[in-house]
Amino acid sequence: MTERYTYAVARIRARELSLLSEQDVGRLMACESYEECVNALRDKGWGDETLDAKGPDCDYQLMLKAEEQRLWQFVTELVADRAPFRVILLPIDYHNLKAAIKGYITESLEDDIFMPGGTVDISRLTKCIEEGDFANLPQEMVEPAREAFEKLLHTGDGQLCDDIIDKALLNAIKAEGDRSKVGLIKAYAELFVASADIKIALRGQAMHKGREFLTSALVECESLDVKKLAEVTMMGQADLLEYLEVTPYADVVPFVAESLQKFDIWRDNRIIELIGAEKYDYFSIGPIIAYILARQNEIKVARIILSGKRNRAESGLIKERVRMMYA
Amino acid sequence: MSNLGVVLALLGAALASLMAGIGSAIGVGMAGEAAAGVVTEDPGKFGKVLLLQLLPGTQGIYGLLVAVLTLIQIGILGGSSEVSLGQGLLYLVSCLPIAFVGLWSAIRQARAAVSGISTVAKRPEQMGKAMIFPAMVETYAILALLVSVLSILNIPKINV
Repeated sequence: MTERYTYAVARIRARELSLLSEQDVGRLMACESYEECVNALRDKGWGDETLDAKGPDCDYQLMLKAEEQRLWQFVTELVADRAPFRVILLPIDYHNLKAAIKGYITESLEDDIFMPGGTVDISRLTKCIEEGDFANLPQEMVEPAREAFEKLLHTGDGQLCDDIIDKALLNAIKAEGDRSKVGLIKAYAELFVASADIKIALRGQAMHKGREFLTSALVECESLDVKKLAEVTMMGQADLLEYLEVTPYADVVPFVAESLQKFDIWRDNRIIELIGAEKYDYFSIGPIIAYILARQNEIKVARIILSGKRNRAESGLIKERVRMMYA
Repeated sequence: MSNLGVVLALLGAALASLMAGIGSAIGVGMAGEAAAGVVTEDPGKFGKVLLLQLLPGTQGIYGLLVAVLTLIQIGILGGSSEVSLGQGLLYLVSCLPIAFVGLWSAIRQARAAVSGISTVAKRPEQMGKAMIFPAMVETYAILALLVSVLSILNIPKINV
């Protein structure tokens, strides 16, 4: 039933009022100092009492971590089952898988290398890696985990381990999109995989990687012809950009022509554009997913601004890294 | 069966109150979920969202009205209930507009009301406009009510 989320979406709509708008971001950027910026966020309800006690000089990472936790507490209150949010949570699981494998092999398994909030319990993950019991991992993680573990153990090549798990993540997200009946999840999964493919191509080109790397790292998706993408990547940047011009991602061209760092800004802006349509849906899971992505985006923007302010970066430098907002 | 006319008329009355009532129950429930969601976040909006929640409730009242009117006309609520088979059939048919339109319009109106509640959640100053959209759906429930009522009132004049 599409009306399953009526209550949850209504709460989301009321909460959307407290999202940071473009004007709020402008005000944050106009703050004279880091402390002023922290206070402005506190006025918007960011942080908690424990952070208030530490004063405006507190580590902003704690404030952002508290906001991320608060976001998931709220979402769990609305929808107890996390299955509909797997497409957003999978990157956390695969990050934790990487951390567990690398941490175990390099004997540096510490709690702070893991990200909380994934769908796979961290203690279960580390236990499986420590005992070499890969079969107890979720189905789609079994083979990549075993392969990445063995490659890292035998070659010591951390990058290779990352590449295997990154590809597994893209395959898992694609499968999640294919499985889902929710339009937003399908579109998000497609954008996630396609943008990752473009990034792989751009990085591969910058690092002069061979065709073999490209064909093994790129993941099939509907909106890109990955064989063609690998081919044009090998031919040079002009050919790559020319190919991208005829894909649904033509708007990435001015960004990547400027710098590779701008690519992430393009990607985040595309996600915000994608979720924009959910503002007019009142019954499905879509607005809840959109809210999560919007909150994560604003936490990212706050991190950019706070880090810039703390390091006394020029406002122009901060401004060019700031993303589009949902509110 | 000599009282088949009464049975048919009663069936019409039952359908009118049942279907329109079911529609309203679904509609008010759906809008109520949305209203509760908004009030959880902002209790100050209770009055505004309550008005929107109540909108899909009118179809149930229309169904009841048509049902009571039918019962009065056929004499069930006092007097003798002598209804011919033809008249009974006419009462049944007369009840159908509010039965079907009541059911469907209440559900559709609820969807519009939920959207209106979300509008009020974000922009409470737009309450008036948010009320108008679901209220437009009411037009068709009123039209169906009119057809049912006019038909029922005129059936005794028809000699069947």
